[in-house]
Amino acid sequence: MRIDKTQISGVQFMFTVTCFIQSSSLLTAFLSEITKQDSWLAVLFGVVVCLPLIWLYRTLMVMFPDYNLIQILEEVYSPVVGKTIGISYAWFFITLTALNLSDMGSFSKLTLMKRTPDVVLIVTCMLVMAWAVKYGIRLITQYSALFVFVAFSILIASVLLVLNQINLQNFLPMFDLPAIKYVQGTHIISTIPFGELVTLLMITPNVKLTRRDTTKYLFGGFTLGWITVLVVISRDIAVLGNTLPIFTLPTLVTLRLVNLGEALSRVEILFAIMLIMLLFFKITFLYYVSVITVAQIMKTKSYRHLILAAGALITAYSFTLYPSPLHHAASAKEITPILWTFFEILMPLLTFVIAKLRKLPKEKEV
Amino acid sequence: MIPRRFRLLAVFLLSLLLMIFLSGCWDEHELHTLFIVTGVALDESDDPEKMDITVQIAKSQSKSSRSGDTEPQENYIILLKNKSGTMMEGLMEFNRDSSRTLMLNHNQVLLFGSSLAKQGIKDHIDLFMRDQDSRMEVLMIVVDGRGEEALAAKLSQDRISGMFISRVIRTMSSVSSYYQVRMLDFVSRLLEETTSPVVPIVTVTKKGKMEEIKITGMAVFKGDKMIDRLSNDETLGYIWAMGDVKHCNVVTSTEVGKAVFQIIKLDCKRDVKIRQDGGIGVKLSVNTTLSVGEISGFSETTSEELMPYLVKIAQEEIKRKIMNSFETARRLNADIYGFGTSVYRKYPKEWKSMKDSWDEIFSDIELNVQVKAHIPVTGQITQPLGMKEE
Repeated sequence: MRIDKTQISGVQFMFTVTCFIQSSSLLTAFLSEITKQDSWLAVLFGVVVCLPLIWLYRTLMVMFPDYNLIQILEEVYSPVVGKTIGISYAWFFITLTALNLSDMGSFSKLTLMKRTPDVVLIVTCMLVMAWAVKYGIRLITQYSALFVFVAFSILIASVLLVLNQINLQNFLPMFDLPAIKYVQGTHIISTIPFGELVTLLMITPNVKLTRRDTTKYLFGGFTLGWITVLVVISRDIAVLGNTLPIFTLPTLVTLRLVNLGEALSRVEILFAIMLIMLLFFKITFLYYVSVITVAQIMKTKSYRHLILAAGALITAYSFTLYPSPLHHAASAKEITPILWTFFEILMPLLTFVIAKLRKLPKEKEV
Repeated sequence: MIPRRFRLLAVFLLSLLLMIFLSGCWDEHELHTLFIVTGVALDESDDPEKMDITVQIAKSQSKSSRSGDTEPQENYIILLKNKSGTMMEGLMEFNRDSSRTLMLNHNQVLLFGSSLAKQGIKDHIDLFMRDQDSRMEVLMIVVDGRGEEALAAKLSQDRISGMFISRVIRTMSSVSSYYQVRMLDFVSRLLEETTSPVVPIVTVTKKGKMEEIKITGMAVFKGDKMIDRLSNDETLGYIWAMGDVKHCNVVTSTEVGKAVFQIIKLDCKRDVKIRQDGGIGVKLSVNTTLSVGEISGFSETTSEELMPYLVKIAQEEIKRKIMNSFETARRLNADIYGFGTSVYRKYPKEWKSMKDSWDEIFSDIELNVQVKAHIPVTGQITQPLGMKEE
């Protein structure tokens, strides 16, 4: 049984992955505060650590090409246990959506609209997203290629614009921080942007790809994504140097410093465009995944009547998640990465092992 | 299914909603409701708990007044002053007592009166980093005397002194980026802890009815407190030691004649080493391309000897200036060059033990300057008038 019957192509799938990771490249403060001038190293470590993880996701996708994550869980752990775990996943997805939504609210407030109450921004965006979710995954992912293209253009332009302010000395000294910081940084980068790709397991049935193509597009998308993150972080380190850790939005500060003659300055609007665009995509995708998860658990035939209810829940949730941005930042550094590990690494791994032991999926009788 | 008509209506209503809300009516900035701030000056106040804040606002011009320079300067700027403990309180007070909202986005310069700078400025600049409207690229300047004088100055060259100062500094930054000290650079040096920030210092002088603002060197900070200053001459030595200089003059004069060179490009490579005895040795290799700007005298010199001789005196002069500035820095015990940071970047492990005693290590640094000059261009004439022919 498939809830959303629309199909997406391999390229769309790839750009979805890229876009998903790119959207995290804007909010790098949680990393730069910890690993400072070596943040780019943490990104590279994170990539290395995540390669097996992505391989795990890919394997689950290939093993159960017609099942989404909840169906896999029910298949592997028996319906009752599977549903229970599924509910925890529903909570996880909804929380992720709400987190990103509150990020979008607070950061657009910080960059664009100072006095506008964020409820207005959030509710309006949520309505548009609900509309997108209604039309299914195909519509959502159709835009990913465009977004990736725009994001890359802005990225390249921004690097060129700050070229005169880059100081490579800022990367030195390397490996000077205590080892534990690198572990912490790597853990954060692997769970927050990269590990969140676990959400892809919810759209497996909508992606009809061969084994080889799944690998190709998943890793292709991942590579484009991490390169973006790496370039963004390296650029910010090179420009800001030792002041990097003190800023909430290093990228914004970097773009504000652009000054090529009188004409080419004040280009931080580029950051705002990228922020709104990419976060819009990510939240829509997460929103869609949350709705599908809930629908799957409830075994409803159509998910559309759930959209507005889930949207309202997510909106309210995003306002009550953290009492202040400080709490948010602290938890992004200390609590969330540990908690997310369960959903992103342990659970998929356990599922994979048990599925292998029980020799699932059973060969279908033809 | 929902009838088509209702769908259309829904789409229409949704678009209307988006139009109204996404345009962000709360954040409208209409020009006639704003005061565009072109300069902020902070000064010591008679109340030790407070500071004097002066804000310079560029007045929007009415088209009819085109009589030119005879108009009093009051017509172009508005100065707002108050006394408050923190910058935020000051801004609130300004906004309360004025008909428009102050807009800091276009603030050009942040001036500190020298007496306030001597007390320390760290506590006063937080807002300029935190507030989302202000920018890290705002220029920091120390004013000899009181900062408000610089903002109130009537200049013959420019109507708005804040703009004037920022333009002068930006022009100088084409010589070397170290002339232009942005908030970011200052903060970065403060965070380095051992590096002493330097900030351009300007002096306001009376000249008839008008005033003049001149750059008179660099204020040297130790931590966030100003301790002394470099003269313009010493500033040159500092700038050259930092490298990446373009379009700058080297003036030399000997018994036989005078020569002025233009620096086309000057690079300075820095190499720090830990000496046997635990101290630090710094080697500066200056590599520069000069062109002859002006020569007078040298009538006793033959034209073959002239070029090597000019190279020699240029090299000596550059070296002398660099050493001169370094001696001043050593006397002040202020690491204006960021040698400490270079050591940290090269020897991060050893640095940990050096950091706390950096003041003593710095005053014991062995500086070795090597200058290599090339003079490929002599200008449009090859030799000065009246030189001996072979």
